[in-house]
Amino acid sequence: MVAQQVEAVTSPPPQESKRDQARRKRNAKGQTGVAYLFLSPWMIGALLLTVGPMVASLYLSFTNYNLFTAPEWVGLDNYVRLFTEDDRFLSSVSVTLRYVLLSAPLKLAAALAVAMLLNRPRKGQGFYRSAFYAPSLLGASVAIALVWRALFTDSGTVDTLLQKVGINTGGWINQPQYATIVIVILAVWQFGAPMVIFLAGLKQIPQDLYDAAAVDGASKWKTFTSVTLPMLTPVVFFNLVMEIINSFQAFTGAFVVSNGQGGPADSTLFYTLYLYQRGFSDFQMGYASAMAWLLLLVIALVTGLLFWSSGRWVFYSGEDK
Amino acid sequence: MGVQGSSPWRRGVTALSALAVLGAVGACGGTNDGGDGDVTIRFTWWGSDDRARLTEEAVALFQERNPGINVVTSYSAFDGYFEKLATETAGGNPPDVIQMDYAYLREYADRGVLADLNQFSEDQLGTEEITPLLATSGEIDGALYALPMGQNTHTFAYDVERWTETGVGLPEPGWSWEDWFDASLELAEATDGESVGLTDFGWSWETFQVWLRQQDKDLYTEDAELAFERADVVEYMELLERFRSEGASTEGSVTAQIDGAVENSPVSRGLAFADFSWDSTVPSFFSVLGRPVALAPMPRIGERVGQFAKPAMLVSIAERSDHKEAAAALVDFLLNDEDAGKIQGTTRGMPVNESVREAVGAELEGADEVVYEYEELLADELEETPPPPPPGNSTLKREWERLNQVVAFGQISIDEAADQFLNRAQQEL
Repeated sequence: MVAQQVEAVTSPPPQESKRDQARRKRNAKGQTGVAYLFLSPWMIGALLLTVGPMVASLYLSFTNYNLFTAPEWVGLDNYVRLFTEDDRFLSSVSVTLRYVLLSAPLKLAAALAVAMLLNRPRKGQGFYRSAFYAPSLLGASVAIALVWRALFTDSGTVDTLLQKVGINTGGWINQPQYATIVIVILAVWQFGAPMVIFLAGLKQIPQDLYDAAAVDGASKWKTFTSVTLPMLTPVVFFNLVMEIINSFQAFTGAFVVSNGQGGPADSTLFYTLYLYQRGFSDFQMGYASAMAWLLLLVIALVTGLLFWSSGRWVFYSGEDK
Repeated sequence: MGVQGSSPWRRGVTALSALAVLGAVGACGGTNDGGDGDVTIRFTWWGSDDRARLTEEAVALFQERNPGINVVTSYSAFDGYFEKLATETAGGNPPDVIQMDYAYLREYADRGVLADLNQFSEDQLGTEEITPLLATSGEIDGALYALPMGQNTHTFAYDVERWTETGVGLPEPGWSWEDWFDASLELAEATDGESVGLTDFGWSWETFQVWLRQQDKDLYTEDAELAFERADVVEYMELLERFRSEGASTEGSVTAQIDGAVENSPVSRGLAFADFSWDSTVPSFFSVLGRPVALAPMPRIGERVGQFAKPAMLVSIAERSDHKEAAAALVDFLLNDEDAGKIQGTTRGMPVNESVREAVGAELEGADEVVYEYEELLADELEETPPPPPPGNSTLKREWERLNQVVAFGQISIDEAADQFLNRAQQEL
């Protein structure tokens, strides 16, 4: 439609009468209206459910707000308290960073590995792709996190199997040194979305590059590092940005596996989980809002850094490099 | 052109039908108000499936007797209950009848969420027969924000059959902390360390309170200040540490799995013989274990047991409720009706209405009888309920639980934990 309008403005068809033009304009206008009508559920939703609350939370982050009585303006107090008075805040930051650094690369590696496997033509390809994508559809659900909890608990399936081979861990989710790993594994297992994107990326790599590599006698590993990976860097970059943003915001797994507590001993107290506790258990909504905005800033900053660094390692075909 | 001419009309229809669909979807979210003239009230509580079954049964009887009132019930485990309640309350949509916890009462009352129950006549909501030990437990500054739903008190519940099998002497009412320590070690030895004597009770803020009261201290002063010192925290945590490190209580990785559900308690899992608990949870132990548990009073330091009659849980009515009278009728029924009492047994602790208690007491059996007898045993020693704790208590309670866990895993020292705790207390009180 926009294109139509542009066309109408830049090159009016020579034989069009004034009346025709007017009608066309009116039509375009009418169509715009309808388009907005169809967009309206989304727009109203975005305004009321996203933008509105975001603005409200920005305001609340400068107040003391306990949910029941009117917010009271405290300026930067919440932000100052985060860094000066709150040990658990700092510990939740370090837990979250560790999680991001572990889960994002591992998940991408898993996604890429599986994508390479599935990229080769074989019988039942469709089935395998669906099967490997399935965990992503299920993985974010509470039910799976509950299953995970049962699997990795003391005397759970994993513990029992490990005991059979002589490794006695005594459960994973109940010990601080293992609990985060359980949640990382849960995240890695949901590699479906990046995998699909990797698959699409792999299809884009021109076959002649591989042919040339084969002619040159490159080994498989060499082909991977010199052809596949460089050609794939735009997709890697996209996936990396998405995964890092997602893992900063991880919540469900930690919430369900630790029963909302972030335990044992705060080892799964993710940033978002602590934010939730401050807000909904301690009724300190102002404080929680400040945490939310800080998270937003950090994610923006990290994403910005990634974009800045991308000039150095992301290769777009057609570029001269 | 004919087709185009008709399309605005068609678009209109499409848009309208889309709106209609959206509207219908929205409407599904509403509650079912039943027939004309009926009122619908919502009643929410926490507790086990067991309690849910009995409560639903009592509510069904209430609805049978009050055909004009619909009761929509919902329940959850204790974990998450107050998060959900806070969200609903903040959203301006609190349930009409709310099962309330003593630790949270003041936070909700002070914030104007709860209705003053003094507005109801004795006919609407009877309070005269409520046991004097608890009658004023929901009172804050002269307003009555809650009524007790049941009376309970602290106990060490133990797996009496397994304990007897080991040949170690059963606990007696006068046992000191040392006696429990010794017995615990013997139990661990008798089972080759399979299960220890006690569940680490460091998670329990209330156990600390009893321990303080045994030394004529308490958690809070009347001015909502801490009524204990750093040295008390250190001494108590050292007591816990000694139990843990010598194998008399469960280690961190076991304790970490306690989530408030009886199913997951170390006693239910066969990893410990005794567990700090409330006598009101004993029926759940019976149904989870499939065998009886017996109840012992808290270990003592000297003579004083330090326990008090606690409102096991209270019930409040939301200030914003549109149907306060119907809500009061339900509360009155649950507390004061003999049939309701018989259905509910001791699932929320001892009935608080004295004549209901008497009527119910005569017919109790199994778990209910055990609870009843335990309360009778302690009747003379039980002290009056301390005033509702200050706001901030629920945060401190969680902090206490967390710090004890961190210490149990050896991640920080007791000294650091004590510092952190007092720090937090200063911020919250």
